[in-house]
Amino acid sequence: MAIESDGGRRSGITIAGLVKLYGSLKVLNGISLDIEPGAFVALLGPSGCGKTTLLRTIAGLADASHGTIDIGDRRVVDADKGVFVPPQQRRLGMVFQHYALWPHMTVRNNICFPLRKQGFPRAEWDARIMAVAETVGLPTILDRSPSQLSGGQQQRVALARALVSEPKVLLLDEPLSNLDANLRDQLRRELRQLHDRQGTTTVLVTHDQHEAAMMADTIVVIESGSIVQVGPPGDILDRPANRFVAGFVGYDNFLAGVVEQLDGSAVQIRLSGGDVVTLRNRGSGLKAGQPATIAVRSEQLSLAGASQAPQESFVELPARVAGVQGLGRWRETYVDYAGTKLSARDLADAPPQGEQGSKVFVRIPSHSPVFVD
Amino acid sequence: MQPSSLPVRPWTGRFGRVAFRIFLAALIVYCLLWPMVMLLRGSLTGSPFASETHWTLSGFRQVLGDPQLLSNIWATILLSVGVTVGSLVGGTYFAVLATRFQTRFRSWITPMMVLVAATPGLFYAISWAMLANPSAGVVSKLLAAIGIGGLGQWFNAVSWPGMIITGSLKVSGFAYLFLVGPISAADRGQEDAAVISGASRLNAFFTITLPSLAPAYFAIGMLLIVAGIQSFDMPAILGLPIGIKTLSLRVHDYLVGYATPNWQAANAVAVLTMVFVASIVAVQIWLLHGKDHTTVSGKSPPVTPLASKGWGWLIDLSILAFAFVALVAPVAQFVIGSFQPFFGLYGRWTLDNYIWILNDRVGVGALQSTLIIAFVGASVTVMAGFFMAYAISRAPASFLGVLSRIGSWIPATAPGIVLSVALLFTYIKTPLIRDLFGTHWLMMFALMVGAIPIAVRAAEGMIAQISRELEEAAYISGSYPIPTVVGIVARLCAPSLVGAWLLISLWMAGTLDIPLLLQSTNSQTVATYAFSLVSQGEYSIAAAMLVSFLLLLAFATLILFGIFQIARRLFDRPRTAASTKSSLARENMHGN
Amino acid sequence: MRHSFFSRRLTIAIAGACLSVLPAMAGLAHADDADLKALYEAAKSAGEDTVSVYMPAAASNQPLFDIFQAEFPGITITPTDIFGAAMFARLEAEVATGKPQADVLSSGDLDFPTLFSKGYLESFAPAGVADLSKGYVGTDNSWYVWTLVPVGPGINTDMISGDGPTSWADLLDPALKGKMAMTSATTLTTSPMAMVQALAGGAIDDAWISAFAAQKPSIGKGTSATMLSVAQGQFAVAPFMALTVLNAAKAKGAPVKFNYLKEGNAVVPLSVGLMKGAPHPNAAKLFISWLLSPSGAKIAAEKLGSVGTMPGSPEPEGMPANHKLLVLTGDAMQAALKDWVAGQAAKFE
Repeated sequence: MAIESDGGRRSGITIAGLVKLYGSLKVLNGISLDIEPGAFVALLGPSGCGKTTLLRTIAGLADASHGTIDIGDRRVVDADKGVFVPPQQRRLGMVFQHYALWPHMTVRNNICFPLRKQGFPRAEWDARIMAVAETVGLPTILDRSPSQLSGGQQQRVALARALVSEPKVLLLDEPLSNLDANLRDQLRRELRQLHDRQGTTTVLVTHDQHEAAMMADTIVVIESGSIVQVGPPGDILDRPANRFVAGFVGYDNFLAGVVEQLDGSAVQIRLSGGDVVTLRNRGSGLKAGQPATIAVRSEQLSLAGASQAPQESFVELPARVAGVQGLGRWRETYVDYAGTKLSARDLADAPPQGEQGSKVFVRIPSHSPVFVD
Repeated sequence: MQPSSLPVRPWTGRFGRVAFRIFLAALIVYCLLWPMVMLLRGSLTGSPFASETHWTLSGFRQVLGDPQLLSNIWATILLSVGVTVGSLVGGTYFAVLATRFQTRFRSWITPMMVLVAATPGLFYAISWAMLANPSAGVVSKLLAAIGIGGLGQWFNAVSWPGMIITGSLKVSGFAYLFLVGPISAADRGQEDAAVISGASRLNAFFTITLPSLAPAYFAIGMLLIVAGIQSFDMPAILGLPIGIKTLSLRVHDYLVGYATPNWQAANAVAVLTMVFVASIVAVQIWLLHGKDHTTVSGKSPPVTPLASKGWGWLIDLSILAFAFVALVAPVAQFVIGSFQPFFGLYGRWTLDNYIWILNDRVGVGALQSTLIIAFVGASVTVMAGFFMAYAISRAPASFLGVLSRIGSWIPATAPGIVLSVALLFTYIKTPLIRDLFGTHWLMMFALMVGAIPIAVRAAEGMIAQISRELEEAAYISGSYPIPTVVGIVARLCAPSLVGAWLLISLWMAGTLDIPLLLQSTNSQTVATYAFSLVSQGEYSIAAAMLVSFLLLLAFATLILFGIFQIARRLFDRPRTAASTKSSLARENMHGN
Repeated sequence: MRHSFFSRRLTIAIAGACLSVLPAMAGLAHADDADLKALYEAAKSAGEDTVSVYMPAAASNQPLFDIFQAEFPGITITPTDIFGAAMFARLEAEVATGKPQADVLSSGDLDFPTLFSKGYLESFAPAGVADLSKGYVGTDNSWYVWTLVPVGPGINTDMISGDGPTSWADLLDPALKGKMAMTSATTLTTSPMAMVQALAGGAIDDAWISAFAAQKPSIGKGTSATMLSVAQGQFAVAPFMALTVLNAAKAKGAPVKFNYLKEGNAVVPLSVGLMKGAPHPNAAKLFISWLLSPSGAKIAAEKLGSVGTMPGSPEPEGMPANHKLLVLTGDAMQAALKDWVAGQAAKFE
């Protein structure tokens, strides 16, 4: 399929001061976000954080209480001025969580629907349908009914329908959550490749950090209706801005301390046990004398029976083994460092890292993130 | 390549939208809420036709001072409670059979009950008045033929027991349809636990499952009691001849039972009846804490029906017996009766009754207008009910949603005869609409108002099952709200909407009380005319009238269905030509 | 009894008297064919193709309508079975909406003073009506008693083998106890009307009423329902059955017969009037004139069994020659019924 890379095709989205109230509940609490034309953005957060509401507000399926949204150079929402462009006039594509294929229409008619409604010339319909079916990898099932399709096929039909009218923006509302793990993985790759080929501005809603990291250029982490961090996947995973983001992207050990000294990207922290460690991956806003938190993933935490000389790659803390638990092919060893419980995960068939009550040294990678808390 | 801009439709403008909504709201208020205000006004003034208005409490004074009022209330309560209890027992029995037992005729039960429920009460009452007549009914004639004619005296539908049994048979259909859901969805885990603990399956059902269904029974019972209070046709035909007068009949009585109509008293009874029903509904809503659904939570594993052992034939027999008593016998009596010259005289077959109807201008007119009402009125009602239900379920907090919800309940609390009085007042006092008085259009309008609650309740259930994403996907695709609701939601509801249409058109044809005060010589429905014939003693002609109508309705429906099928073949091809093209291409390849 | 007819203000006074129909006297001026023809032409040229008639027991009058329709092709009768309060409510609605649908009102004579006082009746004098006895003419020529329906025992011939009751005294036969059905004796129905006529005519006395009440007649819902119950064999005799209603049932094969009584039979006087603002005034006038014409009277006698009020009207088949009819109309009937309700009615409660 020939892709026209005209300017109108890829629209950026600018959101400013968006507030959504349900009664006295603030579902969106002053969201401001710039999405570049052609970007692939993931809205990441736990359920109920407002990410779906944000997507629906962009789509026009929900209205806003305050704030503005621009898609391209068109203002689609200006809540305070009463501007609200209804969804049918926004020229978007969207894939719904449950696909929302119309069961009374064939696959072909499902895909054709946006072409009819948006006034595409009838003569082009067939070519466009065939082209988009090829793009999303739909086999020759156009004249079947959606109920005769597998989950993955339904997903592709929903995607084809969203793309057929060449929307300026593609919205994906947890599109993969109803598929089994293997298929989900395959479709993630395909979606990303599709984006790379077509370049449509894409907004994905997901609660899965791996999915967000795998697909998006930019991840927007949302908590309780507010954006807490925006950045490329690497930033979000390796430099979470706070304990919430860290927890959400998989950090499960937290050590509290006080900043002793700052030096470039390095930071010296005095921990609760009195030990002072130097880490090289500090977050912003740290100040000497202020409290800070170190976050470590349990699989990155290792234990050693004996201390080693100071190294660049990790820091060591003395601790005592509090317990060991097998978790299938994994094993978790719980240690106590000055009253703080930490867990280290390694493979169950590796040599044990220590018995209950034994003294061990906990090794923390020195690039572990540090943030104000 | 792309269209430069989407077509802007005038009504999508902000002003147009608001004006359209205000129009809809005004329509709902006028059609569904205003009549009740007019009824109240009528109870304080008197005849709707009086040119001057005198405010008076004399209507209430007369009614409250009438020693008959108490007996009217008791008759109303006795009838509705009796029928409710009877039909709950019948409904439960068959719901248990249908969900728990593996019997030969199990699959017959639901269709049978749907038919029983859908048969208008008027048809049923007339048929039973003929069937169980101590001297002329088929039952007593048969008993007399085998020499035990004396026993026939016991089979009299025109009596208290007759009315309650006949009512219970008919209402069992509704009770079953309401109960079968909760009974099959009841948490089987609890019952299984009791069985594991040593109870028999049947014992577990009665001691564990049934008590757990108490809230459902309560809600359904209240619904049936309210319906019983409102019923008019059954007591009018089976009770009135022996002096039984329910509140509904009392309203009618004040209007036609004396030398001249007493509007003040009739309106006062109507208002009091409304208050009575509304307070029961309020108690029900309060006790159920505003829960609309009576479904019992809990996932049920696939039902493994009990295989009936030695006594299976008994169950089969009971199903056949019910089918015979509740369906076959009344229908047979009706059809046979319509071919007899004189009700009670058997053995001489004649087409005279049908010929009489065909030669009777009013009879033919009644058939025509009832068909129009069934097709036009019921269709519009189903659509209006659908849109109201849509507003209720998709925008419950919006102005239109709230108004639709209230509007869909108000007519349901008013007995038909009360609604008839209220609508008469409303229409007579409205310029232009008043000019429609005496035409079948006004009766159709009144029947539509009466049927709105049925249509809305039916559509609510359908819409609840349609995922909202399906509409949102259409909006995103560029579809506007009304085309989306019609093309996606209504289209997906279509099979159920057709079912609702059939139910409502039968209801409209068989409803006697609502058009009663709006009828005129030239505008009769099958129901009002059949009632008039019955009160002249012309049962056979009335039966022929109703049989003719059912045949015409079935015939017209089949024709419409046929036209629809043909139209679908012609127009509902795939929307694009790709399939034909590719097959052409294939042929070309073969040609080459 | 509540809402009695008698509480109404009576604004009319007609010569009420106990009348008996004289033997046929030929040669008096009736509405003749020329008058009817003129009205028929007027109706046709006005495009009036129907006459809407409000009356009780409409279906049993069908034979009458059939003949009329055959005689005046292009004009059909549209009967509506409505009377009493329902008729008043209907007329009230029609007048209030300014669109009367009724053309002709035909009902028991008792309803007409009220119809007149409400202004529903149009004055109209058919040709030859001057010959009508004064007792049969309503105020300002607004209505006329056009026919008298004999009332007597309707008998189920399957249940009564012999002649059945042929005199008022026969109705007191103990064998009939519990086997008779009639309409309510305490409201304005045929039963009390028949008994007050018989009382006024001297056919029965107070003792008869007491003895008859002791026969415990069953009370049916109305004349039609009572007829049905006798036709079906629920009861053997309906002592106060209108002959027209009985004939309609008999024509359909019901095993019933009517007895004339040797002291004379009571009647139901049926009146007819023209609705003010009738949509089909010419056709309505034609129908009323026809009812009062010799052919109308002849058909009524032949097909329904009622006796025309115009002098010289024929008697129905089976009616003994010079048979006495016990007739009360107008004020006389009103007064007699008022006495009945105040006195004798209590015996039936």
